[in-house]
Order: sequence, then C-alpha cells, then structure tokens
Amino acid sequence: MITNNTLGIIFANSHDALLGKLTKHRSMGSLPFGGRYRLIDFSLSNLSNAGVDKVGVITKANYYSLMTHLGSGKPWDLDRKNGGLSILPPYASPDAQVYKGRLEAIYGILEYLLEATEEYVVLCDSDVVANIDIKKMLAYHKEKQADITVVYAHGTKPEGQNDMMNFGFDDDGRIISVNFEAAEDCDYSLDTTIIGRQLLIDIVTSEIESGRVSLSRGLFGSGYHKYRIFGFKQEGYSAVMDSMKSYIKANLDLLDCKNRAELFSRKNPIYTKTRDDMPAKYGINAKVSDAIIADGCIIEGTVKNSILFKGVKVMKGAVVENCILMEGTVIGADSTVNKLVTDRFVTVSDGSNIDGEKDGYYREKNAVI
Amino acid sequence: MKKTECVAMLLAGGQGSRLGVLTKKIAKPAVPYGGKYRIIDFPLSNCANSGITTVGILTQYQPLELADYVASGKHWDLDRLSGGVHVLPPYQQISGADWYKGTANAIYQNLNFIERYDPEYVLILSGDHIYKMDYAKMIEQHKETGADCTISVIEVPMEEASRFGIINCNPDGSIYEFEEKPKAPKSNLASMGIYVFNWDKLRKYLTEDEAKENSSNDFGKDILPTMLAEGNKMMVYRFADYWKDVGTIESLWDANLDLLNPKIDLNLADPNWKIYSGTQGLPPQYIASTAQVENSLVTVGCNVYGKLDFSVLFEDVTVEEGATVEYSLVMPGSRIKKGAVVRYAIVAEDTVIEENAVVGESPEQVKNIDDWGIAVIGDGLTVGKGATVSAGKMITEDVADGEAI
Repeated sequence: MITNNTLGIIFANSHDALLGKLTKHRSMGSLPFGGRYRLIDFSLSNLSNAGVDKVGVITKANYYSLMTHLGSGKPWDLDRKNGGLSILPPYASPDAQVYKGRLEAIYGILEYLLEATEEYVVLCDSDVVANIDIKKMLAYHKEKQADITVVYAHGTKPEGQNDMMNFGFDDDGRIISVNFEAAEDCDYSLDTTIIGRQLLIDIVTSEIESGRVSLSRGLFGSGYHKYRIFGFKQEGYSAVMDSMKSYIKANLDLLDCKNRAELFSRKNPIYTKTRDDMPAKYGINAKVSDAIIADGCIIEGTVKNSILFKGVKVMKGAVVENCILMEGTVIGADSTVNKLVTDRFVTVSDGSNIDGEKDGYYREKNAVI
Repeated sequence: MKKTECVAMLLAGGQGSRLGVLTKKIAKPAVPYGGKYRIIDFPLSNCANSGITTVGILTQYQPLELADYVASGKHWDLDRLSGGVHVLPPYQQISGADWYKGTANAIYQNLNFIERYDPEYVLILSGDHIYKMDYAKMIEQHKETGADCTISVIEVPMEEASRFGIINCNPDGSIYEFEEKPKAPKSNLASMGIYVFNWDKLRKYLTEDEAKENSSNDFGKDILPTMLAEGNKMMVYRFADYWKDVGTIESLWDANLDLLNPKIDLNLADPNWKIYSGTQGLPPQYIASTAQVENSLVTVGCNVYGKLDFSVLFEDVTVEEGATVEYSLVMPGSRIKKGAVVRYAIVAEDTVIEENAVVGESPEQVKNIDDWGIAVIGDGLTVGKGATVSAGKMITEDVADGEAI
C-alpha cells in the first residue's frame, strides 16, 4: 500500500526551448528517443513501476503529439477507474495567461491538487532519461522523515539549463547547500522530487502571492534551512536533454550495453505505445554494426553506429553512419548519410551524399532531401 | 444485450500433437510465430480488422498461457463494452462436466454464450493457420447468395489434395460433395476450416447432432455432411492469398521462413491490415559491431553479437559473439552462447545453447537425405557445452556437456 498514497505530476514541456527545432512542433515529453520511445515514457514508466496509478501531465503548448501518444494511458497501465492518467492543459480563464514556469503551472492546477487525497506528490520533468526507482525513493523519503526528497546524479552539471541546481549534503544526506552555478564533479538535480501534497500547495501559494516565478528556487532556494530536504542518488544511467548535442549523445549512449542494462531493467521496464510493427527485416547484403534498430525497419544497406526508429528503410547500397533516424525515415538507394538527425518521415533521395558536420545535423519532419 | 450481427467462435482447444515438444506446455494457437506473434494473433487480428468484435475462444488443452495471453483482448483492440473476447473452457453443468468431445460439441456446449448476442451469423474459425483474411467479405458473399452455410476454400496443388478435406462444387459455387482426404480427388478446393452459418441453422444442427449417440460431434465429419444431405444451401468462398497450416514442425519452420522470401506475399507490415500481438516492455534490438546479420527477422529485446542468416529471432533472444544461427527459429528468451552453431533448427522459449554446442544439420550434411529434418529443442532446456544434436532430433530433456544425440 505504500505507493497508492502518491500522486505523480509530470511537466511535459520542461525546457522545450533548449532543443530548438526538435521541439518546435512538439513538447519535450513527446520527443522521440532511443528507437521506440518518447521522453515522457521514462517518467510515466518510473511512476507506474512504483505503483503510482494517478498521474497528471501538465501541458503548455504543442501538445497534440503528446496527447495521441498518451491516449488513455493504457501502455503504462494508467487507464484506471480510480486515478489513472489526466492531461492537464493550461487553464484559460479570462484573467489568466498561459503559465511561464513550473511554479505558475502548478498554481494553475491547484484545484487538481486540492481535490486529490494522496499524501505525497512526485514531480517529474520530462527532459530526463533515467530509470528511477521511485518506490525506493519514497521509502527513503519516509525513513528520513523528509519534507522534500530530490533525485540527483553525480558528475559534471549539464550546461544548458540556467536554473539547474547542485547540492551539498551533511553526513545524513540532508541538503545543506544549493548552488545554481555551473560546476564539475558535483551532485546535480535530476528534477524528480517527492514532496508532501499539502506542503507543495502551501509553498506554491505563498511563492505566487509573493510574486516569485521559480519552483526550484521556491522549494530549494532558501528552503533547505526551513525544510528537511534530502537527496536520493540515481546510481544508474541518466541524461538531461538540454541541447541538440546532448540529445544526440544520449541516443548514442544506448549503444553501450551497460547504459542499456541500467536504463531498460527487467525489474522496472520502460513502457511505450506500440505501433504493432513487424520485426525488423534484414535483407541480403545488409551490413549492420553497433546499432539500435526498432521493429518495422527494413535494412538492405549498411548501418553503423546509429539509432533507427520504427519503420526506417535503408535501401540497397545506402550507407548510414553516426545517425539518429526517426520513425519512417527513408534513406534512398546508394545514398551516404553521416552525422544526421532526421525527424519523422524524412526522405533522403537516391544517390544523395549528406554530411551533418557540413550540411547541418537536423532535418525537419516530412522533409525530402 | 445489444444485438450482434456476427459472433466468431475460435476453436483453440487442439493439442497440436504433431508439434511435439513445442506444444507440451502450451496450446497450439499459443505457439510463437514470426518473431513477435503467436498463431492466434492471425485469426484475432483478422476479426478485429474485419469488424467482428465478439469472439468466443474455445480452449481445452493447456489453456493457462493462452488465456493469459488473450486476457481482455486489448492487444487486438477487442476489449469492448459489448461483446469483446471471451475465453470459454469446458465447464460444469447440472448434467455433469464434459470435455469438448469434438469441434461441434465445443460450440454446442457454448450455445448459451452465442444466444446472449442473438446473432444472425456465426463464424467458426480455427487457431491453426497463418493467413490474412477479411471475414467481412466472406459474410457479405454469404448474405448475397442466401446460403445457409459458406465454407472458405483454397486451391491446393492437385498432387497434395488427398491430404485435405476436399470440396466439390458446381460452377456457381454451390457445394454438392465433401470428401475427407480422398485417394482420388475430383477437385483441388480444400476447406480452410472457416465456416459462416446462419445462426438458427447452426443451432438446429448442433442440437440434433448432439442427440445422435454415434456422432463424433465434428463439423467436417458430421455437421456439414448432414446439412448437405438435408438440402441446405452450402456455398464455397474462394480465398487465393497466403494460407498455411502450421501443424507440423516442418510447416511451422517453413511458414516462418516464408516471411524472408520476397516472392511470397505475406506482408505483416501492411498498415491497413496489421497483425497485432501482445507486447512486453522491451527495448529495441541491438546489433553489435561483431555481428553479421542478413536475410533475417529480429525483434525487440534481442542482442546480436554473432552471425545470423535466414533466421527468425523472437523477443529477447541473445546470440553471443562467434555463434552462428542459420535457417532457424529461436523463440523468446533463448540464448545462443559463444561459438555455438544452430542450423535448420527450432529452439523453443527460454532455452540455453551452451558454448560450442552444435544443434541441427543442413540437408547437405546428412548421408541419407531421408534422415534429415528440422532439429527441435524443447522450452526451458539447456544443450551443454560442445554437445551435438543431429538433424531431425526432438529434444525433450537437457543435453549434457559433450553429449552427442
């Protein structure tokens, strides 16, 4: 019963702006990742695996692709009579504008939080790729009698976000310093946070009334003096999407079997909406090495060091290297592509020669090159 | 209960004994096929795609895994407010409990189920074949011709006709004779075991057949011949696309490798006629730099470090570095370890082929071609290090290190 008392909140538009064209027509949460996933699959699966069966997804803009992906929440076992998945679009009351940050976003769904009966809330950003054991985290939160517990990773702090925190701890693991500056070899936030529902309501209301705008600063800025805030270390793989570069790197990280094992654990699988593709088909003379291939792909050419999403076709004589090819991309016969990120349903004509290094990394949805 | 035009009844109770160790623990319709499917995905996807959303699945032999797989029917979009999928095992009645005695008796014991939907037509299906068929077209023809019963038929090569239930019909498609495995067939139209009945006729003949003491309660042997003899209008529905029985080891192996044959028209990728299947939360497949993969189907959860040619890997299979898999099927969760060779073989679920073991042989490797066959390793077994399993062997117990079978 430990987790049924917990409500999940996912911010679907976390740091959208940092990924430029990738998130021009979609939310961060619906950004395709790793061959068959969308980023929001990670937080949804993490919550679902912990038995959290009431989840609200806060949207802001560009949420059509997100909504078709989520549906009723079935793939994550979130189509529930009690609780289940709720999509929380911005409230458009006459005097309200679309929210700016996460603080205003939560203020906008205050009704949802007030009506809920769960004792705890897990706040998740959708720009983090990690298999986080929220069950364990919740147990830790209770054991430490914490007011707030936040997930952190150790390493060099990603540079893209200007409000990303790193922490200092006392011997017990309680946070005693919070830093928003760039740092190496530090413990930085992965923006997955457990907090009491009532405390969240209180903090958000008072911050908004005082005219403040940042949730991170509201919860952690000076709060660590006042509240018992603890860090929960993410031991396995994690990545934060804060630039096109980090997006490419995180995808290619999956070619390392250690990263894959940590991310796609047997105990806590990552679920996604299925497209019912047939298995990937490798033709005569196919040459594939070091690649993640999704179902529905047809490969008759050469693929190296790449991530191929569902239904990608690599025609005869084509050579694909160091690429991320999203759903439905077609690489025409005898083409050579290197260091390219193609959005969904991009077609590269027969005999093309494209080097992302020279010609630009990204090709937008439905482009014909 | 809302009225339903057509209820489908899927006969999934067969043991499939010719599949030997592959159906030791599971019913034949639950046997894996094509990398990520099970045989039953075909009739169920066909139903969903044909708009038939009330399906009774008659199970008897090893129903657990099948019932678990079918669950609410959501994989096929058959979890419906009204109708949907229902697994129907034999159950105890006031008069006592009976196993399903024959195909007709299985339906007879579930007359109440069909009655609830008050259908016009009942579609009888089996869980033994790989094919894509629009049942709606067959039902439409059934309506147009005003038949009491329509039977789906396919042309088979004349020389093979004596292996099938053959149907002889007039030029207008009306049936005048059934011949079960005839020595001298008059036609090459084989019954596909797919029937559309007018519900009132079916109910009448099932009830009458049940009262006959010496009836085998079988559609092919009893119901259909009786209906014909009593002057009912029975028509053929001609089907000309891919259709394959997967009732034997060789036909199962063949039907899988058909997916790799560009000349064979069985497109599972058609977005307008998808074959749905139950899925697990598995990551996409990984093909390593040491791998060589050609002419193969590979699906989610697989990790390939070795060589793969003319083979089908099912979910969550690992082929280690230096291992070779050729002309073979490796079913879910199995592992082919370093240096092992698997050729012309079916490796069932959750099996381990240890290092340097050799399973199966190519036809060229055997002295007498009559001794050749597909080697089969049963589920959950281990074939020990350096062990060899020769062509055509069916393995039902672990094979020790170095052992030769």
